[in-house]
Amino acid sequence: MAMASLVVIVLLVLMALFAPWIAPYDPTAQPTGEDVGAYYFLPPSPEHPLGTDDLGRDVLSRIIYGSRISLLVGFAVAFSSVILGTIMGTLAGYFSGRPLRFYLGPLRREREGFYPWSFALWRVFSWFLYYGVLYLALSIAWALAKDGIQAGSPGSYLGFGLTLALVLWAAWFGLKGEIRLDLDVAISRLIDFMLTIPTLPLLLVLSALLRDPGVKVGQWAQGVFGDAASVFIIIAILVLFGWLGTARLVRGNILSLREQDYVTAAQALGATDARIMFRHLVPNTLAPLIVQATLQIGGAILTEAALSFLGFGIQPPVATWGNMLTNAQEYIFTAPWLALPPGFMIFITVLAFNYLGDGLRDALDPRSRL
Amino acid sequence: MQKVGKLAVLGITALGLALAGPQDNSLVIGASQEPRVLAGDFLSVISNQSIKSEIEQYLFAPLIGFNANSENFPVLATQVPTQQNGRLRVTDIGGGKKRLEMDLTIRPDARWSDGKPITTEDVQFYFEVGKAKGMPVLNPDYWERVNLRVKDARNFTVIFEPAYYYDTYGSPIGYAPKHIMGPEWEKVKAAARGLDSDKDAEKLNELYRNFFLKFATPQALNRGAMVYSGPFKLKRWVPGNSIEMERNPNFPIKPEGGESKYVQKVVYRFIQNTNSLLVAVIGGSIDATSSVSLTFDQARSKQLTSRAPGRFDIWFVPGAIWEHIDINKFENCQTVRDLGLNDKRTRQAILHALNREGLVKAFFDGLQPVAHTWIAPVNPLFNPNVKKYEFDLKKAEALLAEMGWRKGPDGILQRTVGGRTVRFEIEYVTTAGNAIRERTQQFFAEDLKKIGIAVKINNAPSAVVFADDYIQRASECKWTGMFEFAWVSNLQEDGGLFQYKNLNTGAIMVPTKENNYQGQNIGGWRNDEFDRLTSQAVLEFDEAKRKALFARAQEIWAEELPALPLYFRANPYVVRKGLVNYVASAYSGGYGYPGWNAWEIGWESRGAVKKWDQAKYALSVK
Amino acid sequence: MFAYTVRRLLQMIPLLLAASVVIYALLALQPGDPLDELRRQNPRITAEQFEALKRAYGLDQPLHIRYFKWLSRAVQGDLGYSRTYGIPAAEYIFVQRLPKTLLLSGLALTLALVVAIPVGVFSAVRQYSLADYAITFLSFVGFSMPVFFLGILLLYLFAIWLPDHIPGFPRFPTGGVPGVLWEDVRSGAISFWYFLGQWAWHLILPVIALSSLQMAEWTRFMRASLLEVLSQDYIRTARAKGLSERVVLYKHALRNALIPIVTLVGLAIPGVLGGATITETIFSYPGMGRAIFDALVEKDYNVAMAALAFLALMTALFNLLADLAYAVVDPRIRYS
Repeated sequence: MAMASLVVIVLLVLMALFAPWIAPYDPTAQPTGEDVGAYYFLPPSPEHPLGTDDLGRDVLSRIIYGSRISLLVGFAVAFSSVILGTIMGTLAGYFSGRPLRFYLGPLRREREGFYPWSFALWRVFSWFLYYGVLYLALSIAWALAKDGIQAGSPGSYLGFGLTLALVLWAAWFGLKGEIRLDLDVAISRLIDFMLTIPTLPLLLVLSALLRDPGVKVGQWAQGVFGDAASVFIIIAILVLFGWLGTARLVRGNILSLREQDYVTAAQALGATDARIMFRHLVPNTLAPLIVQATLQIGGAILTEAALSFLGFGIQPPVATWGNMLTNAQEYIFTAPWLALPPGFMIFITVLAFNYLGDGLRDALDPRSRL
Repeated sequence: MQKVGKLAVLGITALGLALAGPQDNSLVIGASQEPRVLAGDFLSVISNQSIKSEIEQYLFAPLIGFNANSENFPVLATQVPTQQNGRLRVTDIGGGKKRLEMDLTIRPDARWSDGKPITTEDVQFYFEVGKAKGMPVLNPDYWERVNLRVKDARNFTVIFEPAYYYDTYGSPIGYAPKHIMGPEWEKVKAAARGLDSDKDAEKLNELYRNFFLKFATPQALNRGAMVYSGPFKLKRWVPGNSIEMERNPNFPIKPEGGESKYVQKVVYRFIQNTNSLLVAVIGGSIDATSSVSLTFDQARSKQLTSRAPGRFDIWFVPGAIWEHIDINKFENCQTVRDLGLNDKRTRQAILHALNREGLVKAFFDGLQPVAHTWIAPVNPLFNPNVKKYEFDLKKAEALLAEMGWRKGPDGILQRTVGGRTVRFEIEYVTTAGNAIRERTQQFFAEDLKKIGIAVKINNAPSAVVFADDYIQRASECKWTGMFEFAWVSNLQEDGGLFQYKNLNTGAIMVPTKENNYQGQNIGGWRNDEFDRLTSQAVLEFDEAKRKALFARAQEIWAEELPALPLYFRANPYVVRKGLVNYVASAYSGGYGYPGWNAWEIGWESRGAVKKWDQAKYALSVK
Repeated sequence: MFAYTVRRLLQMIPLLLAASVVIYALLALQPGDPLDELRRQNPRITAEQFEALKRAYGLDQPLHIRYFKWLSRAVQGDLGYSRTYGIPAAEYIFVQRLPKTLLLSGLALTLALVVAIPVGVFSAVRQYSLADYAITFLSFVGFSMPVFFLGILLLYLFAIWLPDHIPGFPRFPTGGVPGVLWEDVRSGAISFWYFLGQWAWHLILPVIALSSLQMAEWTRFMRASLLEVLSQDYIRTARAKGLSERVVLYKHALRNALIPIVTLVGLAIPGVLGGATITETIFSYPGMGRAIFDALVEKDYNVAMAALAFLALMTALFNLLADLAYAVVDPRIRYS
């Protein structure tokens, strides 16, 4: 089955690559002439093997072109998520229990070690960050309590006084103190945190921000991708949430791998942390990663389709299977045949990637039988 | 055995649903939206959904109704005030402004569903609540102008100052059950006494909302917290499923032949997903659809039309919703100057290039007419003799050539502006997820390509594009080209959509930073004569004179084309054969919903007499 | 272990605070505010009147002030009022919507489990048999079917096509909840069984649509987990002792194989609480998913905030529970 699915995938990729040569019509071409309505919603026929859609466009051609976007989204999301997830997971696993110095107070003297100028720069920057946050906290407290203090309310005095005391203490601590940061804890909590962020409002906000002419990213995406700017946005959002699973997986693997003898040996030989992480540890986690990636491709294609269904997907006139299926849903009673081709393509593609992932797992990791 | 029993139960249920209608003299109406609150929220402070107004027509009768012919008729008032019967008086108060006084008398037999008479106390109560400080009413404009003078238990006068012509449409004021809501209101008043309408606005708002809620939630209404004055009273409300209403015996108007010959029970069935609603209609469990139900395309789908003969009528009521493309005309935007969008010739050329007739035919079978101005043809103020822009690519090309546009190497028009060569690439924004708009957009993009105009589609969900910091900010070039959306073309037309300045109030109607982005003239059009004509027209109580003023304003509008008119939407209704007087017209009841004459709705087979014919107000699917 | 739990619980506080800040900011940064629609519906509103309305809804204040106001009320248990429904947001979310979601998603989860475990066991016991291949194939189908496609397909099939083509085939309801109230049962107007039947009748299609994915996933997990256990030494020992295959399978293997499934189910619960936006949309079911979606689109901040903050709390809590459960079932895992 895995071989069969590989063949399907190769065929799909070929279809996407050679779309202009395979597709019988231009996917955005509308009929011309007097009575264009006569070409709308045509059922399948020899000229249009899958019929025509709500603007008289050839469904087969749109399916073929749609494979480009759907596969692009799938591959780009899986690839980027795996890269990002691997980096984060490796850092978390490797540095677990070895906290990094994150902040050093300006009066704190370092007894040992040599610090390059870049560290000094980071030190200064972190002071700005630290005291900036304190200043912000104080100004918020003042804004909250201002009215009350003017009105003489004891609660406001108390609240503001407490905050002031707290900020002063933190400022004093910041002079001589040190904050250490366990990367593992930070990244793990970041993942927990990301999991609690709801996707829907994030989509709404991003969708608005990215079309605001004042925001550079949106303009850049428009410039680079043109009509397909929404593709880039969708990919970015899916990656934002896609790396979490990979990171967890990698972290777990690294945690057990770093105790292996060959790592201790490399450390003894004076290899740098970066070398150990990326030459010795990461290659040993590749097998489950590849499996994870294939499964994620299918997942991303499904999610893009689901986003289209909720109105946040990739916009017309760019054809994707997801927005074709959503559009067909509007006409399920006028032209039920419009829903089948995109639905079937999504289904078969995801199925193929799932089978491939399954087959790879068997091949790469004979012990696991999932 | 048990299994068989269960199946039988299920089978009977399915059958029971299908049995509704003439068999038990009931009416099941399908709607895709459910009201959040009903009845007690009489100022629509909590919710102003259209489904709420539609259902409340069954539960509360107005003093003066507005029928399918857009005429006033008395319901709980004895007479419609007119200048002939002396009950309507218009006086000049200087500066061209007018004062309007209307004398009304409540019917002697008007009663609430608990038997208590409806009196001026109830009108006074409504007025008092509406005028309360800090009341977050949705139509502050009305509440600032209205006043009330009570004569006795049945007679009172409503005064508008300054008055506009549309104040005479429908009921000038409402009423609410003082004997039910009054005691609670006294408590609210006491609690609000020490509060300042500016500083404690939020607290006041919460206080008022809580007051309305005590008489408006499903739980409260199922408990019987409210009384009704309409032909029906609420029996029960199953949230997420239905609202059931039964005949109110205290309603004073009796339909022809006695009320027993008319519908005794009305059920609103709520099915959010319109596809599922369509399935329910096809399955026969729904007798009629609400104004908030099927989409235009669903009502025309083969699945429905093929089953319709002998079972349903499918009506398309020409509506007042005006689909159009607004254009950014702010000269401070570089793109606007480059493309010459501030020049009427460019706008005329674009409109000539849009095949609106072809679109209306291909998409809607001609059931939704092409628009020529912003006023709907069903509105008496409509001027049919304005300049019309037929589909003519030659004319479009000629106009563009006049502006210096030439075809470039890529087939797109280009011209030189201030030493730079600019391409004619125009932004086209609309609401993502609205299938018909996105379809329209792609259709027109194809047309524009033919004359060498490239279209850059830039859609987003409606929450994004209708946000204050997008649609209202053409002056800051947030959108720089075309913006397709819809306005409801009110019967109470005042030209405010395209005024630069309302000369009666002095308000600037073009949203810019200076006026905190208020106003509906989002594209920034300015024509002083248009402002003068429309500002004068709303003060004109003589219909002929008013028409003349609006006719001239429309001529100017059609020549200048501040926006590109596309078409007027039609609202589809599916109605089971034999149901009579379930009739909607563009403005029936004020908003164009069916049910404005709820007491006359009935089944022919049960002896109901047909008084209103939907065919007069709607097109039927072929 | 105890110290670890306490530490994780303490870490949850800043985590949840941060999450609530971000969620609140996301809601507030959303384009537009709740009064946009009003402005569009009422062209005659003036700038001053509009400002007065903004004050009435507290929208004139800066973001951080609004957040702290919300937070100080929220910790006292007051989540504010729903702007569109007019009732307390907590009542709307926890009384009206959450139970309905628990019913739909809970049933779907149960169905998925009830099918997945025996089928997974069967598939593992008969590894590489024809039945195993068929089950594998079907579960991949379940994985790969977009739920909205499946939902529409089911609707079209059971509410239109089949009743039209097979005489006597019952027409399935097209969605929503049945028109029966629990009060009717108490007052004796309808029988309890009728009430139950009505609900069951309305829930069949959405439950099938919703459970298919998890059913497929858990079948695969069950199969894999059991195969893993069956290859362990102690199973070989048990067999060598001469225990019957039944005892080996059900007493020794199955128990251990169920452990990962339990964790999976635990992790799935916050998702259950969040409702299923797409399934609820297709079947017009008034659950949490739809409530959140509508609240976002209509900018009913209090409702969206109440629901999302609750979900954040549940996600964090069940994440912790899953981590702890691991430690309980697998003594080799140590938390320091």
